[in-house]
Amino acid sequence: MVEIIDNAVQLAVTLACTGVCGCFTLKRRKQAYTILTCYYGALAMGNLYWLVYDLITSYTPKIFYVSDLCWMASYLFLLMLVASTAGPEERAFRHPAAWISPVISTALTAFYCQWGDWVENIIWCGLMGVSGWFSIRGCIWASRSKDIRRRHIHLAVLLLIAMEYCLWTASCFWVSDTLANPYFWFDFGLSGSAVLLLIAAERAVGK
Amino acid sequence: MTYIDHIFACMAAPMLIGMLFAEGRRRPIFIFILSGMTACLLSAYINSFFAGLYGADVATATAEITPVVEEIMKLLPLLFYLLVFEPEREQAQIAMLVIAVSFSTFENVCWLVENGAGQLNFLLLRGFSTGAMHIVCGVLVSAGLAYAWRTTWLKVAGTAGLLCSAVTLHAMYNLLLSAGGTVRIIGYVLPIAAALLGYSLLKLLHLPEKSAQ
Repeated sequence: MVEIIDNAVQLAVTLACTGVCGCFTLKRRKQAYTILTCYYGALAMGNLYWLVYDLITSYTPKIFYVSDLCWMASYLFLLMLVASTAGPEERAFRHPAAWISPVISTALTAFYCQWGDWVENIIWCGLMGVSGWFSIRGCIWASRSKDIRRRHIHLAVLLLIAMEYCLWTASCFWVSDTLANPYFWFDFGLSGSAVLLLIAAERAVGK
Repeated sequence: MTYIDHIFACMAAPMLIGMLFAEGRRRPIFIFILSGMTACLLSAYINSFFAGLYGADVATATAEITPVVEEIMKLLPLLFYLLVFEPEREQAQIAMLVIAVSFSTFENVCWLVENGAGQLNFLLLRGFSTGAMHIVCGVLVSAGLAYAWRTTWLKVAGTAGLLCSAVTLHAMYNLLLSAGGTVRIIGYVLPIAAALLGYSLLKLLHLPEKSAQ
């Protein structure tokens, strides 16, 4: 029951964010909003399938994760967002701290491979590692150039990535289908992070 | 057991002969029809392979394996056409539409051979519903690609996103049909409603262009 409520909340949040971002895209005609709309749209579609599957069959998909494909596409859009919002100077900027993200991702890939499919874990952690690399670099660059608004968007992406990793790690040690399960805390946190990303993007790009 | 390869041979033969007599500019339409049917044939083989590999029952295979395989197979001929021939937006959209229609037609023929053609009412519902679903997915992908491929930054992610949207739509349809009662009826009606909505939207969007001309 908690899982259905959790998924329904996430679906409502992502659908609302898709709608808001879609309106911003039509109104302001900015690339970042188009990418964000695609990001939320893909996330919402994955959630919709997962929720309908859960409601009809009373269990979650076991073989090909249709929802995972949507979520992968959404994180591809997120990667595009962090890569495309960088200016020419930021693109040339390099900082060793940015490599923390790929290192953590590699370690976690090895850890997750004990449970799930190798290819899927490598794709997921690869996407997260690269997005994290761009976000840490962007964060450091924004701090140096005193651009607080741009720093917020990178922090929001890093928060999303952290939430995803916590969620996956919690799913490896499944407790129960109750609120006592940390998995649901992180999933609700993920929904909240998605809203924070929209607020941060509005501050950074909307002006 | 249905010999879909035999059905394919029977349906493809007239196309191949027709292609010989078609003039150069009309020949691609036959190729797209054949591509759609071939994609359907190969999808059936790949579906069976994965279903066997994972030991999936019919319901699981229909809801989880089939949508992914079929939508990828439908997209491949279009991707080849886009990458090799770099067609105009309208040509690409027609290509995807023909691929989707021929895919759906071949699927319906195979279904008829396996299940018979006794119930006209059900067949009408199934025919319109499956056809609408494949066409809506095809139009969604082709219309989206026409936009996504104009900008370099959206090419890869846009294609992946569109494919995922089509897969999800297809999977939702199959999932709703696997349930009984009202949910199944909703499943049948959903793609027809989506097709009508899409058609109305396209007409509305095209209206200002025509009046401007």
